[in-house]
Amino acid sequence: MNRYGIGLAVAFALSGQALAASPEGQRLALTIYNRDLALIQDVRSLDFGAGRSRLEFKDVSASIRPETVTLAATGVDIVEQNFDFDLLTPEKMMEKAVGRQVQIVRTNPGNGAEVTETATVLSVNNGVVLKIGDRIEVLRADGAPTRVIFDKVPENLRARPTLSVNVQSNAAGRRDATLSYLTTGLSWKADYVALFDEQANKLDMQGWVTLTNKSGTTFNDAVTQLVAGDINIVRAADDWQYQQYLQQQQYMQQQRALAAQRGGTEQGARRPLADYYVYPLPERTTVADNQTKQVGFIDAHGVAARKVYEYYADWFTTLNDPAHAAVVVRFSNSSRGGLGAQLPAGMVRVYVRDTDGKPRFVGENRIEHIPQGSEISVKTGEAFDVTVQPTVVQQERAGFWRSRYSMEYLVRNARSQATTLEIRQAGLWREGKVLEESIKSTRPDAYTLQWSVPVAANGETKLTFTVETGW
Amino acid sequence: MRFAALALVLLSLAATADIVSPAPDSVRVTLYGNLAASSTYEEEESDTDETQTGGLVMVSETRTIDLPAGTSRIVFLGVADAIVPQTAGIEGLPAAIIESNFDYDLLTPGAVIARSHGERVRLVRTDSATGRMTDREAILRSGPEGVVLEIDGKIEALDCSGLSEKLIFPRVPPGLADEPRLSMTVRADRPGRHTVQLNYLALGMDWSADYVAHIAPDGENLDLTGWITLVNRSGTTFANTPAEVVAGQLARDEEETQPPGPTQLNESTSCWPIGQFARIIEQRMFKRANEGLMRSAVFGSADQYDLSEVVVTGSRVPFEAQMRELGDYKLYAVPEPTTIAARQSKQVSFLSQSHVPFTRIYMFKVDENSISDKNDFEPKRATTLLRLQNKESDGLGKPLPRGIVSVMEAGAGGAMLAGQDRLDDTPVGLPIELELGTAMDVWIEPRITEERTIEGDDHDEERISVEVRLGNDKPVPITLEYRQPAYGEGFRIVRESRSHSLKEGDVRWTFRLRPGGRAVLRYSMQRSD
Repeated sequence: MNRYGIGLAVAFALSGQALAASPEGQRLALTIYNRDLALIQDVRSLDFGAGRSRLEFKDVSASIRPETVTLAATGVDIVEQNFDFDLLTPEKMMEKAVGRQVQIVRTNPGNGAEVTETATVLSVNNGVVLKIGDRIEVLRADGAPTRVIFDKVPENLRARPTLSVNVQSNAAGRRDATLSYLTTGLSWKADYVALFDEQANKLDMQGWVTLTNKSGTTFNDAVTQLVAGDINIVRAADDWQYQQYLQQQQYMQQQRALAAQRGGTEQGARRPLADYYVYPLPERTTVADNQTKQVGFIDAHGVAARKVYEYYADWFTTLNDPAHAAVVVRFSNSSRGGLGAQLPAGMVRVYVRDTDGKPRFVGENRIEHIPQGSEISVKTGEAFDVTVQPTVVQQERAGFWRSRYSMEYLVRNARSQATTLEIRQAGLWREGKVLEESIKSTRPDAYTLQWSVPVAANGETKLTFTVETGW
Repeated sequence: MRFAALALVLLSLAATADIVSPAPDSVRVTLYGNLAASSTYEEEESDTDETQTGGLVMVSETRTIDLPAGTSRIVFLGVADAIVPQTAGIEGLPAAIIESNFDYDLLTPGAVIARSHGERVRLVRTDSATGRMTDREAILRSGPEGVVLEIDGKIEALDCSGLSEKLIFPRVPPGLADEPRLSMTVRADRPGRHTVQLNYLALGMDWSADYVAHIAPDGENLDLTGWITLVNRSGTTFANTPAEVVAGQLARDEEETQPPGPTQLNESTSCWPIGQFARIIEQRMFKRANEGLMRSAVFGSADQYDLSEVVVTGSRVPFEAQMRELGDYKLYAVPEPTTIAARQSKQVSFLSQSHVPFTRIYMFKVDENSISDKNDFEPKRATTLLRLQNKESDGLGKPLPRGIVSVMEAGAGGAMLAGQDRLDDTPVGLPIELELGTAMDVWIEPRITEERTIEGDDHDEERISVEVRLGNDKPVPITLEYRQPAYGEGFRIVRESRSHSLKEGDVRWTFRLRPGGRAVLRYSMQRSD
């Protein structure tokens, strides 16, 4: 079998045709980045003829970025690389036939009789114009079934994009060649399952890497590693799809309510690659086309976590209807907190155990890359029973560039346990100060005030305050 | 050599033996997608658009798995068709999960063509006049976006001649499956039979809360009933399933939590341009031929989710769904396991409160822009409001998931609809106001009597004076609330003919009006210019 393969390849090379670089003895290594990008290293054993020869790679990723291809083998120099993406379609075939002869077979719609004629294609513009003998006709102008028969497939038209490399080899013989290139269509992200126990203030966290292959190609038995971190990728300015992707990302980031984090201070156990983190998959794996694959990478139990209710007001406003407080689960990924791992960007899905002991989903949010030792807040949703109704009691000028605002926040708690709501009020500008308040505030930054408002079970609390700020 | 290869094949087979779990033993579903929560509710009701895939549902399946020792691949058949595979997790399996895969390389006409390049196929042509069929061998050269064939060393295109043509393939290309397939590769120390829980999120089911309030003849009490409607838009039938719905607003990421859309290779006929006249004929023929076919052929498209095909089962379960707390949400469990068939909706009662006292109030919220219209002396109509307190002492005191309330009132010819309003998620203890519509016989005539600038030391203010005439032409006494939104910097009422209150952000004046009663309100408000 093997010997036959070699014989065939030699025959091809001798007949001056391209040497089909078959995937036999292929060793694949994939390095997959977050943003729809992967580096493929494809080592295969090739039989080079001495001197010039042409290698064709038909089984490379269909989403290859051809400008990034390199082929390396001892004693082999690259003369030129071509990436042919002119696809073989009937229309292209007809366009390439302009000025050439084709056979046309017309079927009489009445009796099914066939008439074959030789025609020259004159043009393919909004219809095919043919010259048959001394007549000029438009192909199928009468609607009668007419087949067109071409002699051969035109050069450079291919069923799928094909990479070909012209090489100069100093000696004949079989040796390893490494083909490496970047491709789109492969990406990965993290999916986290957080099982939260509100009574015990603990959560169990499982992290999965989710790998998606939409590249159009299956990668068999590959050594795979995943890189976390945002590497800078230069794309053409006119790559509108990428621009759209960026805009969308930006928009999503603005829309994302929470999943905030506070600084990271710990060095993770992960193997760093320059400034990024690398997650090698433990075993060789086949990454099939149109597949999502998951491999676990974190399994932590009993991570200290707590639930808080939050309400954030970015301005002094009145609401006619009460708003529901946000429910936020807070935990740390420091080793002291029990997690001790940096978290690559992805989705955190939070579950709680119901009275039957079975998990129920309670909400999800996105996180960015989070270094180890950070404080993480994941908003899971809105509290049905904890509501806030803000009212602007008074707002007035307090000088030429200053305003005074009196606010009332009516916090209601319909739960059977007492609770605390964290209200954050933005909107302070230059020289903002509190004139009076019913609960002592803290000041996370110059522009924001924060109160912890305690509310009794089935009770309500009014927070009132007056602030003055310049603008 | 050949022996070695064979041994290798056997070894690799043994290494990853496939265990097929054909179907779950039992399933439980928890629905999260409350229709009223989505902003497109109204549009959805009238017109289902193509991207509408239905709300989030958590599926918990109990499956029995016979696990051999060593490495094996468990294939889970019969999962919900809109599964979000990255959320799948398994509980109760004493084995290490090496990897979990979801393959959606589906057997479609386009995929068959794309995977058969260079293969021998047969081209069958049928003569439309004589019905005679010709069958020729061909080699598939490209496709599916325009198929090129090699026949007897010559090249032809498929479906460009106007003849009726089809391809016959000798085999299905390997690796293409009829449905997306969830599998997990696991490694176990010892063999055994295990009962496991396979949990995952999927899309395709929605629920809504709908309320009917019947106003008693005394006009002071109402009977409130609440119904939970489950709608299954997916193609999966959940048989004999405990079902639950979760009320409250979950944080969701609709972009990320999605079934991976199969990148479908479409079989399309890309041909050379054909003459204008012929094209028209062809389009007409194509249209005729496809009119009937299109609906059934379009895969996973709009009509899969067409509400008009949803079957509403008439049987309302005579038991009430029971509420319990789930974290910060409310969970309602359907009292008995039920079968939720594909494209079916089902209703269960969850609330039945009689003798809930309410007060009927007439309300008018003034909009300065509309009353500053000159020469507009048309009286405005008040809005009818029903005001309830969601408290046990007031006959209610139940968490009310957001939904639509239909208020029915006894009329001369039986019950009639008095109006509908949307209710937000309402915890116990909060007031409820239901707007029913405008009252014909309660009128308000506001007009601006003065507008002037008050000059100050560092800024100017505007003062607007308003005079309002109010009247009740109903044969019963009423309460009428006139509301002035308190917006604008430094807003304050500087003069008023009766005292106001500040409630829910509005300045309010309240009047009791006898039948035929009239009242006049004068006030001036001031704010920064």
